[in-house]
Order: sequence, then C-alpha cells, then structure tokens
Amino acid sequence: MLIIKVASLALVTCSITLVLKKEQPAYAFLASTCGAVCLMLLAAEHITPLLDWIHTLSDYGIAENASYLLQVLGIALVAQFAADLCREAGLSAAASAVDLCGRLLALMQAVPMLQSLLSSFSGFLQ
Amino acid sequence: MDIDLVFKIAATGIIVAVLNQLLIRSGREDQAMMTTLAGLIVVLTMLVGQISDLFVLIKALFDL
Amino acid sequence: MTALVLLAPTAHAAEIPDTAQDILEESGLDGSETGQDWEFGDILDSAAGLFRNESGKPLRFAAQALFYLSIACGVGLVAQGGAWKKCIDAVSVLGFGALGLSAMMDLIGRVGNTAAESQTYLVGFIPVYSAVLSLCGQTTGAAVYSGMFFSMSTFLSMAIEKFLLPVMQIYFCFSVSAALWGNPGIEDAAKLFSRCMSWLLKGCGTLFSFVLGLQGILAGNSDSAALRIGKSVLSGALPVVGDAAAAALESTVATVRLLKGSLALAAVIVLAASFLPVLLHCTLYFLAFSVSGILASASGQRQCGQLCRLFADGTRLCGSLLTLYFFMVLLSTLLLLLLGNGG
Repeated sequence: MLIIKVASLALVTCSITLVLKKEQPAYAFLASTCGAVCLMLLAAEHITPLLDWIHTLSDYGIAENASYLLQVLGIALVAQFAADLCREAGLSAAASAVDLCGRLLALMQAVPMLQSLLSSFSGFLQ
Repeated sequence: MDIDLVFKIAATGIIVAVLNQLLIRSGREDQAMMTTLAGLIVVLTMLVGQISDLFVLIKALFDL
Repeated sequence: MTALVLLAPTAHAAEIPDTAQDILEESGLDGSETGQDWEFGDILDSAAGLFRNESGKPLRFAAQALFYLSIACGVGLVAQGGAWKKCIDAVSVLGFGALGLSAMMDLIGRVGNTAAESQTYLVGFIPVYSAVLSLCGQTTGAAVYSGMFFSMSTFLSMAIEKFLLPVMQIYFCFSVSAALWGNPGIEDAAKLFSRCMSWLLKGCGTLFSFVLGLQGILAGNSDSAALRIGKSVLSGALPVVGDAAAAALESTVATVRLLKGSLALAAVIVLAASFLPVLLHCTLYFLAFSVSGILASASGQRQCGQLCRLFADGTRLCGSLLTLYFFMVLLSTLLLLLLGNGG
C-alpha cells in the first residue's frame, strides 16, 4: 500500500538525516530534501488522474474559474515546500521571503478574475 | 528509485564524512575541504534531476 | 339620431381593443374556444416544455457553482497554514463572485426586458383605450376610476424601472464586495441596500393595494378554499409584496368571474405566458444559490456561503418585482376588458 511506502520512506530519510547531521550538516540537509522531493513526486503522480479529469471538465466550460483556483493551489504547494526547506536549513528570512513571493504570485493569478468582475460591475452600473 | 536515491546520498555523505575525518587527522585540511565540496557537487547533481522532475510534473498538473 | 348615439357606445363596448386583439391573435389563441379545448395532457406537455427551455441556464450555473465550491473546499484543505488559507479564500470568493455576478447580470437583463415590454404595453395600450372610453361617453365614474388606476399603474411601472432595477444591480455589486472584503461595514451596506429595496417594493405594493381598494367594482369577498390557499402561498413565498399580490389575486379571480368567458381566460393565459418563463428562471436560480450556499457553509467557506445567501435573497426580490409587475399588467387588462364589456 502506498501509505506504508510513504511512511517507511519518511522514516528512513529521518534516520539518515540524523546520522549525517553532526558530521556533515550540508549532506543531512540534502538527504532530507531528497526524501521530501521523492515523497512529493509520489503524491503528484497519484493525483494526476483527478487533475486531468478536472482539466477536461474545464475544457467543457463547466469550470473555467476552477482552473485559476488550481493554479493558486500549485503555487501555494511549491511555495510552502520551498519555505519549509529553507526553515529546515535554518534560514527563516529566506523562508519568509519565499512565502511572500508565493502569496504575491498567487494573488496575481487572480487578476483575470478580478478583471472580469470589474467589467461586470461597470456593465451593471452604466 | 525513491529510496535508492536517499541511500545513495546517505552513502556519499558517510564516505565524505569518513574521508574528511581522516584527512583532517592527517593534517591535510584543504584537501578535506575539497573532498567535501566534491561530494556536495556529486550529490547536488543527483538531486537536481529529481527536483526538476518534480517541478515539471507540478507545472504540468496545475497548468502553471 | 339619439338611437345612433346610444348605439355607438354599445358598439364600441362590444369590441376588445385592437392591441389586445393583436396580442391574442399573435399567441394563436382564439378567444372563443380556448377554455374548452385544452386537456390536462396538453397543459402538462407545455409546462414540461417550458421547464426544459428555462432550466438550461440555471442548471448549468448550478453545476458550475457546485463544482467550483467543491474544488475550493479541496484546495482549502490541501494548502494548510493560516495565511495561505486566507489567500485561497480570497481568490475563491473572487472567482465565485465573478461566476455569480455574470449569471445575475443575465437575470436582471431579462427581468428588465420583461418589465420594459409590459411597460410599453401599459403605456401604449391603456391611455388610448381609456380615451376611447371617455369619448364614447361611458359611465363617467368608471372613466374617472380607470384614469386614476391607469395613471397609478404607469407611475408604478416607471418607478420600478427607474429606481428598483438600478437598486437591485447596486445590491448585487455590493454583496459581492461585501463577501470579498469581509469588512462588517460593507456587509451592513449590502444589508442596507436590501432593506432599501424591500422598502421600495413594499411602498409600490402598498400603493397598488391602496388603489385596488378604491376600485369598488373589483371588491368581492370570495371564500373559496383554493383562493385562500393561493393567497397564503403568495404571502408566504414572496418576501415583500406577498400581501399586495394576495389582494391582487383576489381581485383577479373576482374579475374573471365577472367577465364570465374564455376571453378573460385567454388574456390571463397570454400574459402569464410572457411572465412565467422569467419567473421560473428566477425560482431556479434561487434554488441553485440556496444549494450552493448550503454546500459552501458545510465545507467551511464562510464568505462564499454568505455570498450565496445574499444572491439568493436578490433572486427572491427579483421574483417579487416580476410578480408585482405581472399583477399590475393583468389587472389593468382585465379591468379594461370588464369596462369594455359594459361592466
């Protein structure tokens, strides 16, 4: 089962990281990064069918706005991942910077929706 | 594939740590530092491929 | 000579006015044989056809809204962290607002068109006929009453078009802003607009029932159970104008009884056919918004749920507006036919 694979991978990564931490902290960090990346790859591969289905639905025109929301989700996930990695390496300033960038980019994704909303407003209130 | 990479990085790290200790004890600290750096570059090369895989997949999934 | 003069009013009284005749001919209904030929099956078929035509857009909108809300819920669950949740909430409300507002723009456009059509009908048809009536020397009391009634209806319809529809639009825009911003001040502003809208509707409705009350002709106390049920349904279902609509329903039934013919039934059917689709549209949108509101609140998206509730209230107000118009137009027509038939 997948969850068992995930849990065992996480355990192994943690132990390797702890072993390497005192001697070579850089390698420990790289090992934990690698473990996290592999876990994310596993999750992403398993969610691919669902997202493909959502994309086909949005091609049918049922969920155009939903694709914007999914983009925001993608940005959120990557930004959180990067920020957590920075924090693990002890760089909380870099983590906050990545977080901030991510949030700004996510809000900018919403600009087309804001534009359509404003055009509806102006159409209404002429 | 998943666990293999982590084990490879672990193995590289342990080897580099041992070599580091040996070289420092025998007084060649600059060589110790170069070994560490070489090991880091090797590990990074292995890791960058994985990371780019991940980001390409996320880009495709979320239409970014 | 006097005989000719006396004959003229009765001759005029016997024909229905040209425009009403045109409307009846256009709709393909023959005044003399309507009531008898319709079977229950035909009525069901036409109702089903009407439902199918009208339910396309609201159903599609409901599907879009529900899908969007479930995705927003999923996204909110996946991206943990308080700050990110707020960001995602803002984006999802923005998207839902854009979706809902475009649907509402459609609806209000349609309501405005129907209102404009009935306005043209009222303004064009009624003064001409009341002038004809007064020329023929009809009962002067009746002419005075009709003059007052029709000027009141014209005033009401112009008030509705100039004030109520823009207020409705502003209400929708404000509710979207309220949900987006989350500031209690904007929420209060949206509530104020909806209250203002209810006041205006209530004012029009009260004016209308006041004018109706002055019409001694139409005052009839009918006790039938069906009428009572109809009245209670109207008072309950429509938020503001329910009482006025219930009074109007009573007058309508009394008038139809007085007219005693399939002509009245034909007039009712023709007018209903032009109003019913839009009313059905409003009801379906109301249902769609209520269901989406339930889903949004259940999945923990407070702002989307609030937006859905505000929009659902808005569709209800639209429905009340339409009903008020419908009863105004219907009663004007029936009153005219009544007077025309020498009532």
